[in-house]
Amino acid sequence: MSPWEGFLVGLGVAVSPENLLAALAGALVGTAIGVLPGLGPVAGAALVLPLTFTLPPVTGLIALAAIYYGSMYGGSTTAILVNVPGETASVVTTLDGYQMTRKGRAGAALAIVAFGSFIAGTIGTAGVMLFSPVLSSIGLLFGPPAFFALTTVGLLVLCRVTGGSLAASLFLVTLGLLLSTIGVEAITGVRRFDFGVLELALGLEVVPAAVGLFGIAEVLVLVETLGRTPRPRTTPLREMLPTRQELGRAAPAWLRGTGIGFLVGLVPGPAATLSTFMAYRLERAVSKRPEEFGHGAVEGVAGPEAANNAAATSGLVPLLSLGIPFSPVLALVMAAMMVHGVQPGPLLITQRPDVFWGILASMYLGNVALLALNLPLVGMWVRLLRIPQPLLIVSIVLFSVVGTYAVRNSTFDLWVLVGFGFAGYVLQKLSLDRAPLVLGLVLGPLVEKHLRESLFLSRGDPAIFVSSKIALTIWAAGLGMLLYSPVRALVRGLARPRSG
Amino acid sequence: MDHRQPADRAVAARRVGGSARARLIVAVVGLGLAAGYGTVALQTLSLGRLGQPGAGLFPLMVTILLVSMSVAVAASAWQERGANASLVMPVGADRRRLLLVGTAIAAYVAALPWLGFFLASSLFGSAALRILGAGSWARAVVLAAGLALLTDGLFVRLLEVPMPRGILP
Repeated sequence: MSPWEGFLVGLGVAVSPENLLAALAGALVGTAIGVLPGLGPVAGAALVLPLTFTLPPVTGLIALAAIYYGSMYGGSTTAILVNVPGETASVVTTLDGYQMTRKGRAGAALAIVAFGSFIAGTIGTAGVMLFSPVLSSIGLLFGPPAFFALTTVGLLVLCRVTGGSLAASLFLVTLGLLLSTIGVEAITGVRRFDFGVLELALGLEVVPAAVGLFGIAEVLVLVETLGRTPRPRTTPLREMLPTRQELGRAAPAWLRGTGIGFLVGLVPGPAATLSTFMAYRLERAVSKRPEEFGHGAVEGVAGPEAANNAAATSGLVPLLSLGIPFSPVLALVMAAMMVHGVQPGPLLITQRPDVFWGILASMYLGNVALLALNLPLVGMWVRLLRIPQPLLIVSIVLFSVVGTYAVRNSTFDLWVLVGFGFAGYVLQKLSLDRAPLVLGLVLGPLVEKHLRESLFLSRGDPAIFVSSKIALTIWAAGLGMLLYSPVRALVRGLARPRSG
Repeated sequence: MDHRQPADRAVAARRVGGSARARLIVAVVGLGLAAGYGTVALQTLSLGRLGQPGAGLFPLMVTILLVSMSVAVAASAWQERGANASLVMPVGADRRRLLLVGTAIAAYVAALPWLGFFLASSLFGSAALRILGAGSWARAVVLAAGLALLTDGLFVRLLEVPMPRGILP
């Protein structure tokens, strides 16, 4: 099946009333999540994730994907209107987006974000369509050593580029790996670290851990900082349309941002956030008016926003084709797929074409819906910011509890939720990124499975881990990414005394 | 609403200790965890052979990794001990509010199985809204019951999420 034939199959799946509704509702809920300060894409997806379990698999996954890209879009609204990024990928948008608001161009900035998100989402979806089948066929050549290399390198690289120190990130990944070993072990069925507790024998669920780490922890931060969130500015509708000159400046920035975002999304790490910084630097470097950056430059909004949406879209390529999630939200999407009995990986495209192509086609339709609905709804999103924080806090707790309990009707999971919530708050206070912990928990079983399968296959010969060209290439690429910064710093350090 | 004076608000987020010291504590906790986890793994799980690895091999590797990373965190914290980085911890009304809401969440989860979702959510919501200064007790109870009813209607009735019914029929 060619990508276009696949896309047509996917369109057939996506335009069914329930899937169309799921994409639309997911995009709107996602935007609302992105708009609300304190609730980023991870917390939002974690909160809504269990509710998608009540839907049929394809519908649930379409809703989850829509929530993801909707939240990426929504995060920019608060960044532009009140200088508060709804999620980390919108931090860069505050630099020029809020300055545009101060100059009375809030509506134009929001429109530029909406158009940019649509263009990036559309090109990104086309890229995913073309890249995923190719990567899937390459993925079929992967043996356990290559998958072991990919999961391990993915975790290591994520630690290298994530916020905070490398040691702290690796510490949290290891903690995630440790927690992933609790429960019945997959290969021999041995019970590990359950201390006779039945619930522990079933293993730690990703959902309560993620909802606690991101949802409940954010609630506790909101409780602590109650009443200190800035009030939103109202945006008159007449301000909404960008001028011809603004559009002319935004168009090339959208395309450059989309290119950067798409490529960055294919590699492990917080791609959406990283791509916004890279796109911002690029725009400033190529701009004829670099002095305008930080004072309301249109390109400073258009480039990063297109980049973050393209990265969010292309992140699906490694998940769908190799079964490896490179970000916490995609780890949650993978957890949802597994609950629905769908195994992401090289065989997904042939075994479940309805899921694979259905998600891709729905993403395109979702982007159209976002563009059509979000501009007229800007006023509503702004009003959402006026919801009293106490009501918001109580609602998030209720949603977290329902969402967690829905996974396997376990009171034990609710305690896991509370425990991880308090832990998440402490980690946030220590400025430690929580994403590596979740990824360690999700990828732990995969790392162990591929490690042991490799050893079984080679009868204990460790050389198997570097025996194939694919595994070697992955190790080399990972090593290159890990060593790039320290080596560059070393070279600069050595060069300095000579020049002086 | 935050009714405190700006000056009080400014001191509310007090800078205490250093992040380096906190990270040293994290490293010590990590080492303790590694010791306990590694001991249980070695005592209860088989390592197998390299050609036929047992269920204990990966946990042993995780233990070694956790010890190494704890030492690395401790070393980086030691290097940063002179730096100006400090922890911002809540004090005064902020801390009191945080502790009360944290306790309310834990009490909510404890009460949920026997009070049921609607009743437990209403009680938690009332207490939390009152702590968060959303108005009088009467207003808090009405708002919380409304929120609980809405959540119950949407998720339990419409989406059929099987939440505990508790003492309610």
